[in-house]
Amino acid sequence: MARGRWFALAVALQIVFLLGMAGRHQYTVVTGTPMLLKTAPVDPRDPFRGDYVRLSFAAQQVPFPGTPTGKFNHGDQLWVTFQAPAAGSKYWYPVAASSERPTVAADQVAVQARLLWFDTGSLRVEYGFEQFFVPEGQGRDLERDFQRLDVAVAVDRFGRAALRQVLFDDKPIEWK
Amino acid sequence: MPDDQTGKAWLSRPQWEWLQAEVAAWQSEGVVSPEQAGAIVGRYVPVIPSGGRTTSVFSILGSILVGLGAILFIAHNWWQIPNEVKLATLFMFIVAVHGLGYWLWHGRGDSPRVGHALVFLGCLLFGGGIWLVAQIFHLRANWANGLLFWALGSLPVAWALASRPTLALSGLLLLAWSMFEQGTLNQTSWYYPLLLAALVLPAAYRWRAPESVWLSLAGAGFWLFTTCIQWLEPTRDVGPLLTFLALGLYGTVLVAAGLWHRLQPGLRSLSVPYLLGGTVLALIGAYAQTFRLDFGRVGAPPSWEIWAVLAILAATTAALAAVTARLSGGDWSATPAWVLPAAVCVFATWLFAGLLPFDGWRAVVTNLLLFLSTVGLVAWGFRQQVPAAVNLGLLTFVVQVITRYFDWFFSLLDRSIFFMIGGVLLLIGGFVLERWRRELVRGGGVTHHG
Repeated sequence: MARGRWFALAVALQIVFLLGMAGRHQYTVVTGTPMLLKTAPVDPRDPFRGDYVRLSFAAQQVPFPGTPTGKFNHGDQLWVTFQAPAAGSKYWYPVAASSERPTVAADQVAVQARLLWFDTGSLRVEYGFEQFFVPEGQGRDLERDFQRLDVAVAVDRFGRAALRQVLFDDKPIEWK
Repeated sequence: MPDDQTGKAWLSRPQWEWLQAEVAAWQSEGVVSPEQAGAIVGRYVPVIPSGGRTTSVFSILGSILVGLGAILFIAHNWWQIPNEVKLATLFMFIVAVHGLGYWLWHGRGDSPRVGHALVFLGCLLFGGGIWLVAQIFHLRANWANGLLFWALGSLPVAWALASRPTLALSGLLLLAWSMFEQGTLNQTSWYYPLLLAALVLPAAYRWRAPESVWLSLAGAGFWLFTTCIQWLEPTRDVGPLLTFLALGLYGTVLVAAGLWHRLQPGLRSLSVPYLLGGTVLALIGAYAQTFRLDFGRVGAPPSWEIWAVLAILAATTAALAAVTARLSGGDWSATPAWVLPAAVCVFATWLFAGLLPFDGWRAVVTNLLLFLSTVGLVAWGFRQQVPAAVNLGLLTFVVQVITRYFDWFFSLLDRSIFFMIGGVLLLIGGFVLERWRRELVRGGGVTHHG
């Protein structure tokens, strides 16, 4: 009988893990500050999750004056401060990067990111929402009309970002 | 192997029929009495083909197909089904398949093999669940941690029910995760060998599961290989040779460990992955040292870590060799199979340590050692009746001969001399062996079989 209990516990652990994994990301989507970003996609495929659109953002290029060598290494986690949209725009944009969590103003949000590489006067980072999984075979259309795409993300109070929706002409995409 | 319940030894159907015919003949010729004939036959029982293994294999293969089909269905990303419904359905299937599997295996207990396969399928569906959540929330592409979580979630099931297929699945997933991590992130992760040592190998030994030992040894070899590549990157041209050197020494450690396993009655069934895998790696590592290369682009000297790895591997080989020789009562018949590849590696280590110059002599000595090693391996294989050793030795011999024949780094005259010396050595060896065998047959009256 002990074997049965251990097995039930192992199966329960699997379910709790999956619920926790889904819940952690759902928390970010539901409670996070919504942000809109401009994107340009390409269209590869994952062996376990199917087709996805790889998203590229202008917001991945973060201004960073001076020489960052020694402060950051490839793959390091860092914080990017986003500024709320300027007048006449709807897009949030990055204004600074730091290794510690920054104190931000009311119209700013700090987001966790990972360093990819340095450029002159800027850092190239990834946020973890650079891919959008789509029904099989429907990624190419998005790629063709990428200029009409925007990405809605949410950032929770821990600075974790999650992709909420990809918008086509400001509306959620309707699959065919 | 004796039957646990009756204490009688198992015989295959042809062996059993042969024994019955022979004993009947002995009895009719008066060699044995009817009572003795009955006693001889009564010592054995024929193996009854139960079909159990076939059922297990087909059931597990079926589970693999269903599980992969489910993952492909998830990957299709059918947008008409709401995410919540997808998740709830998958959770239901995971619990139901696990529950039904357990019931058939241990509850009702009359279909244990199919039940076992369903539990295995439950773990495949758990993996599908991970990818479904990752798809719904658009988690990072090339997300290697999904493989790690899948393995870590399956291991408790494997441990709870002593499930060898689930253990093998976990070992395979950990290996894939390690390859992804080491290959794409280009940094050393110590978690993989720690997880192997803590969670996979203890179970593999407890349940005598050679498939998981195979996966673990292959994974550890890959981990060592990629780690050495990363550590040796600054040494430029010398790096690949030292990497293969580490792999060769790892192979010799495995062979020595395999010989030790062969001497332990309880571990004999696990010796094959060590012996076969280790011999292949030792020969590859030694073969890589046989090229005559111009080290014009030697970069920074190897770091202390690589010397530590090589020293630990060499010391482990030596320790295991001593223990093995001692346990086998000083029987060194197995030594040519692995001592010579080890010698190639140790010799190469001296060179890299700067104790010997980098010139043509390095290639001459390493080639000679590898040649003797393959000859020793073939001889050992014939003597111990291990066809795999004979085939491996012959394959290495052929590869070495072809490589050296077309080797542009030696002159035609050099190569001609090497080949003729090698050929004469083999002919002399054949002559000595034949004479020795003839004396054995003549002196001891031993019957030979060709």
